[in-house]
Amino acid sequence: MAGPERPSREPEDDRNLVDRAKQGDREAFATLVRRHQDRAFNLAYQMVRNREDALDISQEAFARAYTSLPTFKGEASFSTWLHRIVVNLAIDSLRRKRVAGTASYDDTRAVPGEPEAEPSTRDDPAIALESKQVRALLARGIAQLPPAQQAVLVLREIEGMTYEEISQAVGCSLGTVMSRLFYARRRLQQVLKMHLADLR
Amino acid sequence: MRHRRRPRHRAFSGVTLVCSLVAILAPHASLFAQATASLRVQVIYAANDPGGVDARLGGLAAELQRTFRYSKYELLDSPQGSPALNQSWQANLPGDRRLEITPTAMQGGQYSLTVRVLSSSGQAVVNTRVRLRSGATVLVGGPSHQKGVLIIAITAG
Amino acid sequence: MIHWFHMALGRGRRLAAYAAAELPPAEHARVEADVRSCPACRREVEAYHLVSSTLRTEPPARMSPEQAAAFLAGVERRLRPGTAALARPARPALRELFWDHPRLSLASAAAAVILVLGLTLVQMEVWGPWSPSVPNGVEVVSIEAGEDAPVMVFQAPGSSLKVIWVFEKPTS
Repeated sequence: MAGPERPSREPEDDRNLVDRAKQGDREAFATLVRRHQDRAFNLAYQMVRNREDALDISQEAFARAYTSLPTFKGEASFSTWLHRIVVNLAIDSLRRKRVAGTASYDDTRAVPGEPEAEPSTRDDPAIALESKQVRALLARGIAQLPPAQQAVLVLREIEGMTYEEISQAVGCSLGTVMSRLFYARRRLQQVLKMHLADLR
Repeated sequence: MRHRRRPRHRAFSGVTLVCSLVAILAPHASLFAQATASLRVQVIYAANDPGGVDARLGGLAAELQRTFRYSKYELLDSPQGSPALNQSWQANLPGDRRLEITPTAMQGGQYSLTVRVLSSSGQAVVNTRVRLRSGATVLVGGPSHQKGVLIIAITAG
Repeated sequence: MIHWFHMALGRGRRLAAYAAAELPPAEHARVEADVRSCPACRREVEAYHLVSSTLRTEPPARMSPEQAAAFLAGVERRLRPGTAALARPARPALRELFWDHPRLSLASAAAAVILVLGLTLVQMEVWGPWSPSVPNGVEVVSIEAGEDAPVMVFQAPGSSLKVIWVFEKPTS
């Protein structure tokens, strides 16, 4: 089979949906919401580590996206543009809470009462590196990072965005992205280095 | 300025028109909209390798990560087609396989599809009939590919 | 550009870049050789790898099914009063045409009735009686699998995707 032709980065559907939404097509924007709501929620949660705040932020992000649609020119994908709104709202939330001393986060991930998905293990083996302790340490470490560093770390390591996409999503230069990412990684690496030393 | 008492023809026509339009649009929209099924397929390679999630998967990525525990999801191909009713549409899959989709009914925003994954010898590895609402996605997965598997996301509408 | 950025900076960043596989090949090999002979460097790299691998395998946070179902409504509630919430297109001016022309409106109504009746007959002829709506958007009606390939249908909790999974017999 000949190598498949690589599709463009952004699914064509998002572009069409955005164009239709700009003209007042209600269902088109609703489709965008349904398509991107889970990722927006996850991104917000990874930043603020609080489910209620994450829900609040992600819904607010879509509301702002809707009212700002006329300003969306399409240089970045809708997804990246939405990420930017989510990240900014999350950073604002973190800064407000830290100033007020009310920052709180939870380490729970699954919805209470829901079992984890269990497709056949023959084709989906467990990933080796699951360690509750390490994850808890990292969660605390991330919560203590400056919000701007937290944003780039989450976008790179959890969302898997490229540096260029992160640069567009947070609205800063490539060099700033890399610098913040370095400091964020180093901070977490130092936290884990101590943990690893304890194990030896 | 409108008269208070509406002429009778307006009331009669108005009610009849509204009822007729509702009756047309509800179950019959497919007749006007299209006589073909718009198919969108994403062929995904999933494995427990480094590589993360392909950003081109968009909103599907989060669903895949909720459903499976692979560490890598890569979009290999995204063929599209618009077969007519009872007309088969095929797309190539890795490993000399083929995906064949045949719409067998299109009605009121719903699609009945026969989906087959065919091996290189033409044998059906899986032969399934599904009904999808317009825009809904079904996954067919499991055929081996390199160090992982193929997952085929099929959306109609 | 990324490689240049790391190269221009000090040892600490170079080690972090090595751990993230972001150095050019020659520099990567040089740092790798240094790391091999430096236990402290190895521990640093190990910790960087653990950060990345743990974060990348982090299961995504998800809303409850109820929250997910109500998400769009939550967005709509936040839209400013006065903003047409996910606005519908304006009504067409056709209404004015029918309202003011009695013969046209009556004729259109009659035509619509005939059309509905005709379409109903055609549709039932071609596609059979109407079937009930598909709950959750997807229904697997039937499956046949190959002899050596059992099939499973499942849907993970919290996911909207229905999966048809084929267990192919390993070839080796």
